[in-house]
Amino acid sequence: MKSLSKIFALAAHAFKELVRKKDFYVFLFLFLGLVFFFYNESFFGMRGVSRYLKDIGFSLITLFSIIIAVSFAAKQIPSEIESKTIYPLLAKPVSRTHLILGKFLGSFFISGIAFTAFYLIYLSFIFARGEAANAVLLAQSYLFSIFLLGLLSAIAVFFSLFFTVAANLTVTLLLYFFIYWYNGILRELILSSPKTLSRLYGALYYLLPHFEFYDTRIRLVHLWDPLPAWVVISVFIYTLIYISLMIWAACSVFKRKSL
Amino acid sequence: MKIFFVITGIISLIFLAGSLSAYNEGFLIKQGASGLNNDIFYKTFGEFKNFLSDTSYVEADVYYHGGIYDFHGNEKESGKCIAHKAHREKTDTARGRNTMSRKAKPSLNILPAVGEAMLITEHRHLKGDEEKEIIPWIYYAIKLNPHNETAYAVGGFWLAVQLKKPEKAITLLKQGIVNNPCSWEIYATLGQVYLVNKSDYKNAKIYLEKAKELIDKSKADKFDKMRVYSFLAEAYAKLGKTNKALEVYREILVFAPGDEAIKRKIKKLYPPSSQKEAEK
Repeated sequence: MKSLSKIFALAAHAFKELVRKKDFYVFLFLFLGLVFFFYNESFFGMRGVSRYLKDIGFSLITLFSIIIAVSFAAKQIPSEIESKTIYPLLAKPVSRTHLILGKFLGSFFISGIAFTAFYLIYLSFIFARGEAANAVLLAQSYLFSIFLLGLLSAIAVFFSLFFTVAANLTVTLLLYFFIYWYNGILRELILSSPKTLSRLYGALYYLLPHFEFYDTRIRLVHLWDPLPAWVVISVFIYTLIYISLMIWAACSVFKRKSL
Repeated sequence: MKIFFVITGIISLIFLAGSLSAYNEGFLIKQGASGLNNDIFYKTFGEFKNFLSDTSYVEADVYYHGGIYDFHGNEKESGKCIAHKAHREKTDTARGRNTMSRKAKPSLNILPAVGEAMLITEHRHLKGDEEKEIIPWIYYAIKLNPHNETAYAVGGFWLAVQLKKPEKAITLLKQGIVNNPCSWEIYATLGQVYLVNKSDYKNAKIYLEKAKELIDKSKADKFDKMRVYSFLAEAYAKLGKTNKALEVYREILVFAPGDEAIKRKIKKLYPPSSQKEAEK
C-alpha cells in the first residue's frame, strides 16, 4: 500500500508539470487554431461536408498526444539526473523501481489527460458540424488511443535510460512512424522468405510493438462497424503485457545503472 | 520548449501564407491574370507541393472507397495500391484462400489474428449525398497544385454530374483554364458540363472545339479522343449542324473503325434514305 502511495506521489508530481509547463497549452491552442481553420473552410460553396474534419481532427489529436506522451516520458529521468534532484529523491524511502513506475504513470496520466481534453474539443467540433458517429466506435477510438499513449510512454521511459532527451524523442517517434507505416512489409517478408530468415523476421514481428493495432481512424471516419469485443480485449492484454515488459526492463537496467 | 514555439510559428506562417496567397490569387484572377506565379505556397514548397497535391487527390479516391486504398488494381499508380493488394492477399491467407505455402503460416498466429481483424476488407463506395465528402480533397489537390489538371477535371465532373452543381463546376473549370490554358481535359469537362448539365450547346461547342484542337496535339489515347469527339459531335447535332456532326463522327471511325455505337449515331443523323437522295 505504501509503495502505491509513493508511486502515485511521483506520478502526481509529473502531472503538475503538465499544468506548469507550456507544452500542453501550445498544442491546445495550435489544435484549436487548426481545427477552427478547417471547420470554417468552404469547398466550392458545398454545404454539409464534414468527414474531412473528423479525419484531420482525429489525426491531429493523436499526433499531438503522442508528442506530449513521448516528450514528457523522455525527459522524466534525464532531467532528474541532470538537475541532481534524483539523489535526495532516492535518499528518501523511494526505490528505483518506484521511481520508474511513478515516472511512467506520470507521463501516461499527462498524455491521457491531454488526449481527453483534445478529444472532448474534437467531439464538440464534429458534432457541431453535424457529422454522424458511432458511439461504440468513438469509445473504442478513445480507449485505443489511451492504450497507445501508455505503450509509447513505457517505451520512451525505457529508452530514456540510454538516450538523451532529443535522441529518445527522435528514436521513439521514428520507431512509431516506421512501424505504423511499414508494418505490412515485415509480414510480407515472413511469408515470402526462406525458413531461417522467416523465423528471424517472425521474432522481430513479435518483438516490435504493433502500433498499427491502435489505429481506428479509418473505421471512425468512414463509419465502419465497431471492432468485435475479443479484439478490444486482445489489444488491451497485448498493451498490458508490452508495457509490463518495458517497465520491467527499465527497472532492471535502472537498478544496475550508476548515477 | 523552444521547438514547440518554432513548430507553432512555422505552421501559423504556413496558414497565414495560404490565406494571403488565396486572397492574392483571387485578386489576380479578377484582374484577368493568373495568380500562379505569385502563389506563396508554390514559392515556399516548390515541387513538394505537387506531391502533397497528388496525395490529396489519391485521398479523394480513398474516401470514395470508404477509406480503403485503391481497389482498381492499378499497382503502378501508387504505393498505396500495392499496400492494399498486399493486405488483401494477407487476409486471403488468413481465410485459407491463398496459394501461399502452408509452411509460412505457423510463423504467424496470435498477433496476426488481431491484425487481420483490424483490417477492413469490404468493398464499398460512397452513395448519394455522401459523395460530396470527396470534395475537400479535390479542393486541396487544386489549392496545393493549380497545375493539377486531372484534379480540376475530376472535381468539375463530380460537382456537375454527381452532385448536380453545374454552376459551381463551371466556376471551378474556368479557374482551371486560367491556370492551365493548354489542358484538353479541363476544356473537355467544361464542354461536357455545358452540353449535358446546362444544355447550353453554343458554349459546349466552343469549349469542345478547343478541347479537340488540344487533344489532337497531345498524346492522349483513343478513348479520351473518342470522348471529346463524341461530345463535340453531339453539340454540333444539337445546334443543327448535322454535316459538322457527321464529319466529327467519321473522324472517330478513323481511329476506332469498328465502333458500332458511332455507326448507329451516323445512321441516326444521316439515314440511308437521305444518303440515296444525296447520291441522286
